Amino acid sequence: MNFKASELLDFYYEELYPQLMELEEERKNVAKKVIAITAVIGAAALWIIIRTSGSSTADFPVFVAFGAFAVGGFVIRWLMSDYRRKFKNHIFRKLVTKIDSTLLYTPTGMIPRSLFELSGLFGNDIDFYSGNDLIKGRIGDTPIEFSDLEVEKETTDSKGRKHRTTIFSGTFIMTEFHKHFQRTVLVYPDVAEKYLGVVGGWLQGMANGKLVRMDSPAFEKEFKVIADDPVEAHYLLTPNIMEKLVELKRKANAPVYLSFKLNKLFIAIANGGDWFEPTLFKSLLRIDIFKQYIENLNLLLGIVEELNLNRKIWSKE
Amino acid sequence: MEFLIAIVAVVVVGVLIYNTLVSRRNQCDNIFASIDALLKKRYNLIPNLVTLMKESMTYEKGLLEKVTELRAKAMQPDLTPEQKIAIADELTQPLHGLMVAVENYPELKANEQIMQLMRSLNEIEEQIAAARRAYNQAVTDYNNARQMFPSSLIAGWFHFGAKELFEIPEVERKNIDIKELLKQ
Repeated sequence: MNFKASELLDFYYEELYPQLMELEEERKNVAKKVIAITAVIGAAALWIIIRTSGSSTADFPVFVAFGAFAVGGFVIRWLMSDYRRKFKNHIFRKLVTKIDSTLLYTPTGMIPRSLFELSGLFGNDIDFYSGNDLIKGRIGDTPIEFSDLEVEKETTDSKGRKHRTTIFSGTFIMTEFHKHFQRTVLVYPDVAEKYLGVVGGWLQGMANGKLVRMDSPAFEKEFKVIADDPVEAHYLLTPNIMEKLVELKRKANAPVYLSFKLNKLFIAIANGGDWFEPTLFKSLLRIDIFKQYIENLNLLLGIVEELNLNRKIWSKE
Repeated sequence: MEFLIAIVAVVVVGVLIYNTLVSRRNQCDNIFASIDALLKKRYNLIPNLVTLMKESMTYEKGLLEKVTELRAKAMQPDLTPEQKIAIADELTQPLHGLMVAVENYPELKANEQIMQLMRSLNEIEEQIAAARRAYNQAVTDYNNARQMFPSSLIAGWFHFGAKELFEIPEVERKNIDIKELLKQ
């Protein structure tokens, strides 16, 4: 699955470069339009704020700024849509199938909401659910699928204004876990212990009776484990898997969540969901950017091998 | 008034610490009970495995006898927890020896019933190893709470005794390569 450097360069220059050149022209045009639109909307908002200063309420400039932001965002999305679609269908699809021809890529697909909720990681109080870049396939005997997700909730502030609060934004992965287990084990990023050390761990223990302390200090520093049965938590999180999860977190450079439930393993990487998006203000021809797409894909597809999920030596068929 | 509030605060903190110590001690006992249950599951598999292997294994009679003998010993009533663990530890080595020896007998490897038993046994072995790790972690947390101030004061007054960590035998630390074995 992992590319060799020479193979990567061949593929890049022989198969992708001509299309990247074409798309690079389009990117430049889109970038110019985006800058122009941003300038116009920004100037218009500023003009309205200056003209109405003194005669409007204190909240009015904030309202205008939010309005400009929303309109700008909408227009930029619309301007980029064609370019994004071409990038995903022509460039990114080729890359995915080059890595593994059996993988199925659907740019507009996503992990269903029911599965996201089933993981039990973020609760079910969801108002907005969207996603893209669904990749499905098998690594050895183990099925894996993942997509980017944007999950939000509507909240109302003290002044009655409605806001969208992010519940999860990033890559959500679902795969089979190779061992039998009965109950749910949840793994969350550990904020308290990372920043408050022993006191943080102590406070966590007081706050959550189901907190299980694991026997790996490196893992404990990064994660906290919530489980009904500490033996099962240790059974699923072997020293090897804990080491690999610390490594995964370091490579992803983003908070990582895991849920072991109903013989499945869900992994949520809160990377902001832009791992597979085309660049707008950087050249598409930069090989380092291209390498980053490959590294991200390899990281996700490599989870099966890294966590030894193909190792079927238990009674689970 | 302030004095009264201070006394109430001290009592509340004392009760919280006492409860934490009790819950940590119970946690250790619960995990120990899980180990006991897993060991029983392990003992239940042994008779079938020995019967099936006895036919074919010519050079491992000693191992088979040792496994049967230790199982019988473990089945005795009224064993102390320490004795249970000692027997379980003693059994680990010959049992793993048997699992590895299967490699030399193609007819055993072809027997689906034996392979299923081996998979179950391997699963239980790993569960036992996990339970021991969980127990050691729970004991460490309990002993830490016993020794750290101010919970050490409460632990002293209410006689919360120290608990011993399990020694994880070397043979359990390195997993035997059963993957190769189960490749048919």
